Amino acid sequence: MLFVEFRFFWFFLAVFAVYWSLRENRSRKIWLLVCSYFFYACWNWKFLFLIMASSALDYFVGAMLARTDDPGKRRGWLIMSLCVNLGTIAFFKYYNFFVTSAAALLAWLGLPASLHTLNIIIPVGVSFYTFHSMSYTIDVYRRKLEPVRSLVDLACFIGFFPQMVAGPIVRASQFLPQLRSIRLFADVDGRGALVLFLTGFIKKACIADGVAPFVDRYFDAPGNFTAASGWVAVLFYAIQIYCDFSGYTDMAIATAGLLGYQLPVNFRFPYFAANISDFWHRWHISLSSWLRDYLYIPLGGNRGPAWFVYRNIMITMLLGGLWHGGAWTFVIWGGLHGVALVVHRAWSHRRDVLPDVRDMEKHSRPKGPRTFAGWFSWLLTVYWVCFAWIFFRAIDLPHAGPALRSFMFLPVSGTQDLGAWMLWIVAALAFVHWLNFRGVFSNWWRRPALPVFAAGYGCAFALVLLFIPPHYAPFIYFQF
Amino acid sequence: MRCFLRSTPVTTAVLNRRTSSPVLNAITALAAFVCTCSALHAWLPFPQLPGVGPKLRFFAAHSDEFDTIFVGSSHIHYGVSPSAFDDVLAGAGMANHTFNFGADGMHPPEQFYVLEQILAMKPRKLKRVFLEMDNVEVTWLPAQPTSQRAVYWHDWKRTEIILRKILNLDVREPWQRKLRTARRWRETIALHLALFARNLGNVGRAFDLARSLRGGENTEWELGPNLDGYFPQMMNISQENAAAFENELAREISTGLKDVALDSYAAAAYRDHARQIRNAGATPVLIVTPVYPQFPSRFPEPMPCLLLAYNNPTLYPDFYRTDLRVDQHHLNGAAADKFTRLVATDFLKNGPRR
Repeated sequence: MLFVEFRFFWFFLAVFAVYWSLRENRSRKIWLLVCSYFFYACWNWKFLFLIMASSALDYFVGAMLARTDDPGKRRGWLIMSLCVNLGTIAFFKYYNFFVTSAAALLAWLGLPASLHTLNIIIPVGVSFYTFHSMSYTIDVYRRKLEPVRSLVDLACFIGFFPQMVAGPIVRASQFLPQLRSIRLFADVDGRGALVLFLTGFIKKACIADGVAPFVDRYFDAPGNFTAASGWVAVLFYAIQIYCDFSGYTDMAIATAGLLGYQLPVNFRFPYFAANISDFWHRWHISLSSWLRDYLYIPLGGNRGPAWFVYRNIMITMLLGGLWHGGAWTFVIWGGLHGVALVVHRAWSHRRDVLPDVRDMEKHSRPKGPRTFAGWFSWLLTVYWVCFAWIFFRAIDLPHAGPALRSFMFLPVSGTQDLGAWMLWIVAALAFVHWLNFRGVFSNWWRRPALPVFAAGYGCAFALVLLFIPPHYAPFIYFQF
Repeated sequence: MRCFLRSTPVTTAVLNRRTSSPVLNAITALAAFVCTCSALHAWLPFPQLPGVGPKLRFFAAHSDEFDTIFVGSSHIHYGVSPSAFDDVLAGAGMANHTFNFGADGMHPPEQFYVLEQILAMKPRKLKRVFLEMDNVEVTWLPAQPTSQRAVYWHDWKRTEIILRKILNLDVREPWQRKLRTARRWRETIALHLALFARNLGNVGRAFDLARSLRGGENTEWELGPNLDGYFPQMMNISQENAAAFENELAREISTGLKDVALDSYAAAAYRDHARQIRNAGATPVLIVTPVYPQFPSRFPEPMPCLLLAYNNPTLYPDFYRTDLRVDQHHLNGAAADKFTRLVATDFLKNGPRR
């Protein structure tokens, strides 16, 4: 079930109506849990047991951590939880990657080995809900969070359907306190949530799915296309992945908001970032802050000599790339961003490469380039980000080659054309995005009376449906 | 009323307080949504559909020129030659102008929707409507099941026919059995309901509108060389397919040819449409082309109109010769000419003369 499907609207209508008609917080949580598991079961009910097992294990580990003060035992419980959670991801997402990579390495060393891959179905959202779960155990271990008393609370946090399959990655410390107190309907910003949902819907269903066929056509056989087509496809992909993922996040935040829960912001105009470091303050914020708090800082963070910090950045970004999937293309994508962050850090001598994203309110909007250096820095950032997207999207490394050549102004031999005029679509979308960035669309919809807003919303939704392409493309981040 | 009598102005805050009921606002939003969708549905032109769209547009522009139409699937599209039909009727002293409304994959209930569109044009000269008789198709959809071709005919009337057939609502059964049926067919039911919702919501029609504004629709294949909706097929069945066809036919004949009855859901719909055709001042005729004998050839009583069925290989062996076929299901040009003349002759023999 996708947020943009009709059946989701019926599903959510039922969830919403029953949820707010229940008086007790516990009943509401049980209802949410049942609905969340149903939502997941619509994809594959067998993998529900994995989520349940993950929830039960971390509930148990949390309880054991609370029972003992012995540092050795506590560390043992934590390691057990991490091993099981990371082992789950490793098996489902990386088993085949490790096996084929090991076989290739052995063959390169002159020791050919016959290693068997498995036909594994990757559970949707495994990386997301495992990270939710791990954040709970680690925070309890660090004594930043009291362990939950009720398994329902933890299961509800891990399985909460708006964020279960594609984030944002919510920390236990952000969400569990919300589950403890009863939500009040009067506190729900219905107008804001509905507008956010519509915005996300437009981004995903109209824009991302609209450009997807062109991107798919190009990246299926990039060697057949002209250089201009390469530019069109790469820029379209930059648009697609942003609109797809931020659209999903907007809808997730809005859906949770309508049920009275607050999820963290995940995107803040990343393509207007002034530099690569700024980009990572604005792109997939929940993942970058998770990696910072649970990987980068434990590795040593910004402390120590420069090479040590650079090493920490590279490890974080390489693993961040690998988090997206078991393929060298993702590792290279992470590596490219790591290199850019290292170069930027060395260039600017900043001490705050990955600042506390919990303070993101301070970074609410980028100012935008104002000087020549600012424009150059912005262009370089966008170029590098798009360059890295080629590896992210390419089926494999050989398929990335022609796209890279096109994007680096090197000659290519392809003759098929996507239509260079499509760059105008990029410009038009960039202009709309810029208007949004300047705040042109913010808050005017709060002014009219509620019935007028409701009527306008109904009309707007009907108009938006006109612009949905004939087929839905699955959310890109579902595969992660 | 009291609101207008108040001396204080009605501010936004006051309005919010007075009408802030979430249920009322939800109903307002839903009403606005439905009204906008309905208005757009009425305003938008007929979608650009391969197979069906060009024929409907052409017929709309020439609706008063045709006396006879044949409506059905590709069996009609490739199997009925309007000029041959007109020839035979002219020989009997009946001036006639025929249009072939066959379109690939246009089975009931899509066929019923197209027929209603045709009748809604109120063609003044229309005297005869030949409808291909077939069961209601619940699983066949175009290759891309969310394309406009699959969406456009999913109004409630058509969706209801499909749901009735899937759930077998004409037959009284224990509710557990109905539930089991619904469970077994849930994906098909969900698909048809989604297509109905897409049609209601005009999903993706902006792209379609842009295409229609750009123009340049290639209509040669749909309208044919004589602009009568018929495109004769000049090739012959391949040897491999010919062998498969003959084997299948021999198997069917060996098991004994029976008159297969039309399902009750299709029958009810055909009765309704026969009535509509008569109300429009024309004569309905049901026709079954030379397809496999497993296709229905008998209408459950009471018959709404004349039925001409030709899918019996023992009665019409010529049409089952592989040298007269394009593939297992379709006649080639020569056979289509011959078949149409037979239909016209049978119609003159059995049908009402006007």
